Amino acid sequence: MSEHTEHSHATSADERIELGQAAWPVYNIAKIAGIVGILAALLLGFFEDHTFRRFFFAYLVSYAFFLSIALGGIAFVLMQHLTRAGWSVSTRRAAEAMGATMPILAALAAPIVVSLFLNNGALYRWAQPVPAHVEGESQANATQPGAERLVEQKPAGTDGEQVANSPDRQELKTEHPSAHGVPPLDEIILKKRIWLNPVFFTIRLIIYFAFWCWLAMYYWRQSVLQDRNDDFRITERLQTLSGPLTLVFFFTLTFAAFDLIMSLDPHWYSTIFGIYFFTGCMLAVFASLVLVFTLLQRLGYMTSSVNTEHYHDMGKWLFAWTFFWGYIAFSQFMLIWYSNIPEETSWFVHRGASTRLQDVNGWSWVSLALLFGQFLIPFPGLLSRWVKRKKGSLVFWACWILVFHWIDVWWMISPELNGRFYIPILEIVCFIGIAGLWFATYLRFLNKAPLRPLHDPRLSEALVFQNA
Amino acid sequence: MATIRTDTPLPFTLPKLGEEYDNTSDDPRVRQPLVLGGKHFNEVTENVASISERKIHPAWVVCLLLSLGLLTVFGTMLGYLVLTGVGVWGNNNTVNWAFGIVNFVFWVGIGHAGTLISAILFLFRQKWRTGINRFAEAMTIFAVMCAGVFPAVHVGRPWLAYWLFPLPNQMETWPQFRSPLMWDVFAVSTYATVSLLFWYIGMIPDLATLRDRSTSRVRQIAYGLFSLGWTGSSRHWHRFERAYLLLAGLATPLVLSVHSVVSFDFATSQIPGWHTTIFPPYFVAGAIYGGFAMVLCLAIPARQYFGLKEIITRRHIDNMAKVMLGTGLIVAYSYTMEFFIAGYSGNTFEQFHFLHNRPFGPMKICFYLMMFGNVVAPQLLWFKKLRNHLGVVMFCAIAANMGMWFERFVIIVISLHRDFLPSSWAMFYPTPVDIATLCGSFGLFFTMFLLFCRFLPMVAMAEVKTVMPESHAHSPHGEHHRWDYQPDQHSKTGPYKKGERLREVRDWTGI
Amino acid sequence: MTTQTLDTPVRTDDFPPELAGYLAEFDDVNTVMSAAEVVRDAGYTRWDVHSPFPIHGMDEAMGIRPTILPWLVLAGGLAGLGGALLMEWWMNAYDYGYMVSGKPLFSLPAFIPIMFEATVLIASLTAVFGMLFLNKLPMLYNPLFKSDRFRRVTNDRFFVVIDATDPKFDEVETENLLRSLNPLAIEQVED
Repeated sequence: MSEHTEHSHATSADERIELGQAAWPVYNIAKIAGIVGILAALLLGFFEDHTFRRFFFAYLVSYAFFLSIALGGIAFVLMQHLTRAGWSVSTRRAAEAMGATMPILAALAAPIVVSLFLNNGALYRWAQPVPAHVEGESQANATQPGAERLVEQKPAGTDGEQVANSPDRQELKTEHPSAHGVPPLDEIILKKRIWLNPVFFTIRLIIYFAFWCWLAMYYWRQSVLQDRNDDFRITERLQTLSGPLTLVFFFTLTFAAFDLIMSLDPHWYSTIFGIYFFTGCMLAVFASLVLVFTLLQRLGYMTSSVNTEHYHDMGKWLFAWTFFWGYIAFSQFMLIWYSNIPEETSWFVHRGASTRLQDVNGWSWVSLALLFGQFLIPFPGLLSRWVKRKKGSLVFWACWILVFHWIDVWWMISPELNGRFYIPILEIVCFIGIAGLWFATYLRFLNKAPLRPLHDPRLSEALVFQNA
Repeated sequence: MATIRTDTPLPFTLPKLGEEYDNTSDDPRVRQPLVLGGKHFNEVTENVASISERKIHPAWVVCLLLSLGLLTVFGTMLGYLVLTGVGVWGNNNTVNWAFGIVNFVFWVGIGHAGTLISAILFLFRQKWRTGINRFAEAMTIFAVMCAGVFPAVHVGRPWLAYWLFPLPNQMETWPQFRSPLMWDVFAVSTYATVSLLFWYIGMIPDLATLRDRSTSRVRQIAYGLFSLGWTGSSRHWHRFERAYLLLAGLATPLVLSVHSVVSFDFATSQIPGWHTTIFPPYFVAGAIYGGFAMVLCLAIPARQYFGLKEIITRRHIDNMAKVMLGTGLIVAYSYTMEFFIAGYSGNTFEQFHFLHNRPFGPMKICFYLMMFGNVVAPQLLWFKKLRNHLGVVMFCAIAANMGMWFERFVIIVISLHRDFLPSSWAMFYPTPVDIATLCGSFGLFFTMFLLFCRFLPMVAMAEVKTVMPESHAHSPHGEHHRWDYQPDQHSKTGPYKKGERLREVRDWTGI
Repeated sequence: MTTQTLDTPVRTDDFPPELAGYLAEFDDVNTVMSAAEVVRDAGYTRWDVHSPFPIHGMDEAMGIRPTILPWLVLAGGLAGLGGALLMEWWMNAYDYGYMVSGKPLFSLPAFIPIMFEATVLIASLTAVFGMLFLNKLPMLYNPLFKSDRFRRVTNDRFFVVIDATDPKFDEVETENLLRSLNPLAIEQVED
């Protein structure tokens, strides 16, 4: 490793930065766990109900969780280039590899697309056949979103029960569901079919994933290329591109969050939802990075190029995003709670997050757990400087935040199944499946290149910087 | 003894740009110098402190008189308002909030840049902030002063404005804390207090510099009193730095909260255009956008006329333009979300407001001015060449200020004038008093700013010195790193040769 | 630059001046840094380094212990938080309760903004006034201000000041120690 001798004052020359063959056993275990997990989940899901509704929801939870880590990885890399950061260079490769898992996530989106074309609304309840007698009319409505139509239109469903989308009505619907346990389309959803229909949804997914895959692979490849050719202009180019790409990335991330998660309740809308999901991505990536580096260092890799200062900075970011999550979550909840408009409050009522006693249900405890576990406890927990500088305590909080981030995703998705609270066994089996496949891919990318950039012009800055 | 590595060639050159040195290169191999002109500490002190020590320039007097004229207009209009009533404004039953609240939000927004620069950029280790933080903080305080006036006079009977505070009274009543307007009272007063403290605390070492340089007794006593007996003790610096860090940590969420609370005034309602969940972060981004625009509007002329080009360099302007672009894009993102969700929601009233009344309604001109100032104009700043052109940056900054004023107008007035019930629809027309009050508020702002430029240290000298390469003790190996901010090698006097001057002094004193 | 290495001002008043300490002048961060290490290792306790800006690493070089200020600020913040909650509960839910827009009298979501602002306000006030208190500022009289040389401390010079009340202080030995540090000048500070 003669190429890093110029940084020898900070890095011991014998630092191991190539994963090598050691990764293979873990890789194989992860791959097997992934395949077994997915199959087991399918089996369990089949026994749960024959339309796989529960399976689809459970799958989406863990899928969105790992998607958020990968998106967080891309966002991390973009942010570092955008701000021309020096401190993070030695930690960047691990995040680049997280983003580079995007292709497997694109492939793993298959069950979601399948659920759309089953055409029974198993996952997204707007993905149901439009009743023949309203089809023509609803198409007409959809193209001209006139105000008066809403009031004039006759109930579109089969049992004539769903007139408006007030929470009380929805509760009724969930108690008397139609054929597959899915409430049928009502006129509001019919109006939205112009955006929420299987074909356009699939096209959008393809656009998002095509962009993300290209973006992640481009940044990963260029970074690896720089290891070989020691060309500082690569950094310059990546910096220049990071501005416009961040913009596009942020829009695709937002619309993906709207599509994949928010449209589970097709009546509900919240303009802040994209930012809420993005905050989760950032929490996930910083927590994951802390864990990845701890693991690597325990195994004897990267022993000196990631040090207390980097952990401190990642801890600071965890703290900052924890606070930001609290801010965004509070803003969304408080504004909806305060305005008290039924079509918005219904979303929180489903989750039992309400100050009315009669709204309390099984999800109320999850909502409370989220409030405490995602914000009120880690906020003071991560406040002190020593907590972020001591590896043990930081790892504890990173695990904690990842667990609650998963709970957050679960809380966003699963209450839309039928409003009932389930012990998340199927969700956990799905988690094991996707985690195995994702982690195997991640290992492959970690293995393909050195664990940190070798020739980034700011590498030496990252190796010696100190927190004030 | 170790020396700064000026003998070995660095992988960059500083191209000349007119008379100024261009340190805006983004070459990743090096961090560009933040203080130009081959300055040593003494030259920085001289450069900044002399502004308040030299004779008053007639141009400054002319500017001050103009500002005082505007301030007089402001005072007269407020006096007229207080003596007559809020009816002198164009507000009506439907549009019950108009210029008063628009101006309030506008000025509070501008007040966000200072604390952002001093707090958030501090936590982000953005060292270039040191060149501009002092007068950005000053600007913040003056903007918050302007903002505070409007709600106070808007209450109708300003002499009873103290009812907003939880004071025991003979009516045995208390304020209504569930009201967002009360949150505003607390948020804005907290923000004013903390900004003032932050500004003053940071200024103590520089006031001590002015004290130590003063030749007249009056200046000595005045600066002596306000510098509290500062001696630059390292034990003091230790607690000072800790307090500064803590204040930065506290002011960062505060700066988010203030404009969020302002946005709650609107977003907790049910009116389309007011009630939307993205308002808090959207307002904060807009505030930073407008605030940085105002900092640029002041910084570009100030560096020119006060001879601060080598401390507030091209790089500072470039960075601020980038922040403007970034926050401007967040604002554009928020607009997109509002419009998309209005369409997506299927909610008739949302759709009417966003898809019809804003772009095609009777006040559409305001909407297009807002879009121009906040979405179109900042796109120029994508290009480095344009960011380097002070005229273009100034144009974008002025457009942004205009756009942000109209944004508040669009949000407040266009949302109100046509709500759910067509029979209560009404138009809004500002009265001359409205317009004169708005213009007059700039008089207050500029008067305060001019006085500040003249009598207080405009640049945080102590902080600027910490980002100069000479301020760092060398590593044990005696080498100076590439990634430290470099000294400017292209100045006429050449880089300061530390070793030489030291030797000269030693020979002289015979030690 | 004065030619004297040791200033002994001529005093004409009736009160003989008392020696308050020595100051040694430097014009370079590295030198003053190593000087601080020497003085620290020599075992002095009442001494200080004065500089125009905070010097990174000086805390270690001087052996300054971390300040308790963060704990004071934490206490202030908690007081603000609890105080605001108590105030809002007492004023709106207990002493003078009336219904507004169907919100409960004790509406925690609506109370949070003011709780937050009060936390920041009290914590910030504690940070600023705590810092001034711990630094014993304002202190408008200081024997150091009598030195003309010391006026450059807020500009471009660095000073090591050893107080005469230090238990290890000795007029000759301390001066020798300071001389060994290669200062630009040494001066007696008189009170």
